[in-house]
Formats: sequence, C-alpha cells, structure tokens
Amino acid sequence: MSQTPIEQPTTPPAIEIVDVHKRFGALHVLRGLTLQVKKGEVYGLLGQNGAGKSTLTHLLLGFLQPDSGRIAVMGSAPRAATKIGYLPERVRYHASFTAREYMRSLGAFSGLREPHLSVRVDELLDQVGLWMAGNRRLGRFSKGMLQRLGLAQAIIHSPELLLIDEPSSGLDLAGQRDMVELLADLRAQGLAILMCSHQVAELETLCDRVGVLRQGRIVAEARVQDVLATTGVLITVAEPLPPLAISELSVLSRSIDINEQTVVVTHDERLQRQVFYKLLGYGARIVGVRPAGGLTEFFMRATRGPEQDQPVRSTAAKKPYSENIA
Amino acid sequence: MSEWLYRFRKFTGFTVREYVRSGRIVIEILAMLAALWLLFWPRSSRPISSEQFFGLGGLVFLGISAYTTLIVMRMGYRPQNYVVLFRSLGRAGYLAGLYTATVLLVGMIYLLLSVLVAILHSNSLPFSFGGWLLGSLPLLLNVMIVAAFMTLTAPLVVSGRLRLVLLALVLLALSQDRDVLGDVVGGALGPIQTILGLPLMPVLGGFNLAVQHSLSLAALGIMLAQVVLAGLLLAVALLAFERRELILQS
Repeated sequence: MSQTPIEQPTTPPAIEIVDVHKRFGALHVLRGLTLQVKKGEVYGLLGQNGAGKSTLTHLLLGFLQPDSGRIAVMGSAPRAATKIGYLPERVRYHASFTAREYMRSLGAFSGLREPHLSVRVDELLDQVGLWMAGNRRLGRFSKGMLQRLGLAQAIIHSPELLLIDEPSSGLDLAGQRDMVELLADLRAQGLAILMCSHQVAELETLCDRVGVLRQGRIVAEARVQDVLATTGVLITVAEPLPPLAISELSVLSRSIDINEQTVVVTHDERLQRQVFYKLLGYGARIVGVRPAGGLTEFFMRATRGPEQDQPVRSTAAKKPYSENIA
Repeated sequence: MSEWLYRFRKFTGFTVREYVRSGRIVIEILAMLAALWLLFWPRSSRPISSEQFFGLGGLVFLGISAYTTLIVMRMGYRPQNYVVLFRSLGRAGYLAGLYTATVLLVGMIYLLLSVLVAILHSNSLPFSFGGWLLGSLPLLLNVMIVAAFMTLTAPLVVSGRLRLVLLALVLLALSQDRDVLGDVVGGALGPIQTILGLPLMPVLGGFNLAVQHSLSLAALGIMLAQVVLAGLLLAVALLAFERRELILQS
C-alpha cells in the first residue's frame, strides 16, 4: 500500500465535523458526529445501510444543513468550498449527451474555459479509459463506463477533496479492479478522499484511516495499517485454555488476542509457530485454524457491540484492533 | 460577475439542449400546432386580426409557459443534478439557468408560431414587424411572470406546506365570489384580496397592451411593472431555493 505523506495540521483539515446532529422529522440520523480528515488523507467510512453515510456526504456538499454542530470543508463552510469533487452512489446522468459534451458542460459549470477545458476533458477521458467512447451518448453507456465517467466528472476541476459514495457499487470484478486502480492514482496525487464503501478490500487498499459509522456517530476509528497488522490466524481449541496458558501466551506478544477458546495471532510466522508449540505443549486440542482479522472483523465488532457514549480514537500502532473499538 | 454569467450561460444552454434532445419539446410543438390549427388557420376570406393573434395567442402561451416551467423544474429536481449542484455554478446560477431556459424555450415556440402565422397569412397580416414586436414584448413578459411564479411554487424550490400557502393566496386573489363567506369574513377578506390582487395588474395590463400593440408612456409603465413583478417573483424563488434542504427525487 503506497503511503502519501499527510500534511501536518498547520493548515486546516480537509474535513472537520464537530458534534453534528441531523434529524429528518422524528428520525435522528446523525447524533453528535465528530470526524476529521486531514489534507492528503484517504478516509474510509464503513456503515450499515441507514447509518447516515449519505446524509453526511450531503451535509459536506451543502445540500443539507446540520441542526447543530460545525462543519468545515477545506477551512470554509461547505457551500463556500469549491474545490470538492463528488461521485454519487447511483450514477445517473443526462442520457442525451455524449460523454465529451457532458464533461465539457460540467467543466464549464465549474468555471473551466476553452481551450483548457477541451484538453482537460480529453485527458480525463483517456485516464478513465473512455476516450474512444467520448462521442457516444451516455444512454448507451454500461454501468461500469458510467461509474468511470462519474469519477472523471468528479475531478474535472482538479479538486482538493473528493467525496465518493460506494465507488464500486454494481460493478463486476474487472470494473471494481479498474475503479480501485483509478482511485489509487488519485490517492498518489495527494487528494484528500472521503470514501463510503461496503467493499472492504477496496478500503484496505486505498485508505489511510477507517471509521465505522453506527447510529449516527463514529463508534470505531483506526489506521488501516494498524488493523491490517492484526490480521493473521484464528486458532480455536476444543476446551477452555487454563489460566497459566493464557498468561504465558500473553507475554509472547501484545498483538496476540486471547479468549478462553480462541487465539488470534498476527501474520508473523515465527510468532504463530511459537503459539502452536505452546498450545500443543499444554495439550490443547486444536479444532480450527482460519484467517482472521482485517477490516471485515473490525467492522463486524464495531457494529455488533452495544452503542457507547464516547467513541475511542486510536492511532497507536501494534495495538489489537479490538482495543480501538468503542 | 463575468465568471458567474459564464457558468449561468453554459447551464442555460445545457438545459435547453437537454429539453430539446430528450424530445420533451414535442409537447410544446404539438400544442403550438394545435393552436395554429384551431385558432389561426385561414378558413374563411376574413383575415386574421391582431386582437385574435395577440389575445388568443397570449392565453395559449400562458398555458404553454406554465407547462414548460413545470417540466423544466421537474427535470431540475432529478438526482442526476447532484453532480451539477455541487459545482461553483451555485444554487442561484442553477435556478436562474432553469428559469431562463424555460423562457427561451417558450420564446422559441412563440417565434415559430409567429413565423407560421406570418406565412399562412402573408397576404393579409394585420400588423407590421414593429407592431408584432410591440405586441409580443408584453406577451413574453407575461410568460416570464407565469414562469417565475411556477418556479416559485415548484417542489424543487419550496416545501409542500409553503407551496400550499402560496397557492391558497393566489386562489384568494383570484376568487370573485365573497358573498358565500358571509358579511364579516367576506368584508375582512376584501382588503386582503385587493392587496393580493395587485400583482395581477401588470399581467392584465400586459395582456391588454399586447392586444393593442401600441407604444406610449403608459405602455412603458406597464412593461416596467411586468419586469419588476417577474423579477420579484424570481428573487423570492432564489431566496427560498438558497435555504432549501435539497433531497432530489427520482
């Protein structure tokens, strides 16, 4: 995973959300949401349907107003911030235009002028692999082509922040891979990205940090490299481990996560061998070994647990992700 | 300002092109052809009068204007416009663009009708080009007023509750029969109705002016009042749209 240097907090963050509440009638969608995304950072937002991801995106774009709390985008109020790009979840476009006409129009709405506009449109169509289809009407585009065009329109005005809602939604595997590659290119260019997605692999590949949105607030947040550092194997034993075995295993490494009948070990092969020897030494009957951890488990734990009053934020490395979950 | 005008101009053109290309314009063309056939087709030796053209044409185009605004505003309410609205075009440029596109579309259809009428009645046209201009200007200003009002009451711009209030005020302004409400209520409503009816004066004045198609100081006053009324309605619509929470509908 390539790491883009993240700017120090001397400049305003790309996104700053402090204690934001948003209601739609009786429905309290966001309940004291606090979130910060630094410039140049890629932040992945995980959440079940209805968790408030789209509401958050629309607040950042200024389509909606928060009931209370503060939102700043690139240091300004959302509607004053012009350097934002947006790729909505369900890509629906004006079908009677060709891709080239459409991109030129959207570029003009962002204030781009000729001849730079045409050059930029062709450059982007080429970048997303649609140059040849540039004169085809959007009504004849496939879902994957529309999604790639969606990304091109989102960055036509060279934004500093990109908001993306489910970029791979409805795409086949090849389309998903193309989308990840395109987003990785943007990441390398230093764009700040807030990405709402259900695709864990996508988030693992692209994001610097991830947060889990549940019942209108961030209930867990972690650096992706910390979460991935805890991936490894889950060993299940037939009977509960004796307390002495648990304490001996615990001292092997802080990254071992032990319960009575399960042990999660990171992908450190030497450590895994040591754990197996210890377990066998105590006569434990191993009944299962499977890959464990990663963002899926991070998300599942965060969404399974009871709602907490205060979310825990952690950037501490080498800490089991379970400790980062509020 | 020039930056804003550039983006606004581009969006207006985009909306007009989409309306035409998507085939929505066919309804207006059919309505115009129907009006041409029913109202202005040369059926007898009696030539068409300017009262007939500007009077009936004025009514037809108020209807076309209301319909076109309804459809254009509905187009602007679709979720595909999220990718337009977040840009530096802004909400004011967006709504002003939709409105201007509506007026341009209706204007184009009116121009087409005028040309067809001029061809059909080339031997007995009751007005010169100057007379046509003098009659058309107040008529098109009325189109702008109707479009501005329809914009103000569009779901894109105001919530359902506010729209009901606005429509109730219009009904009150237009209602004639106060007797059914009784002396007390009817009497109390009288002054309110008079005030609410004031905006109708430029519309009616413009209608008469179109039929007379004459140039005078009073005519200029009426047209100025029409411009002010259209501008006021549009300004209120822009203000309401700036404050609107946008959840675009599929």
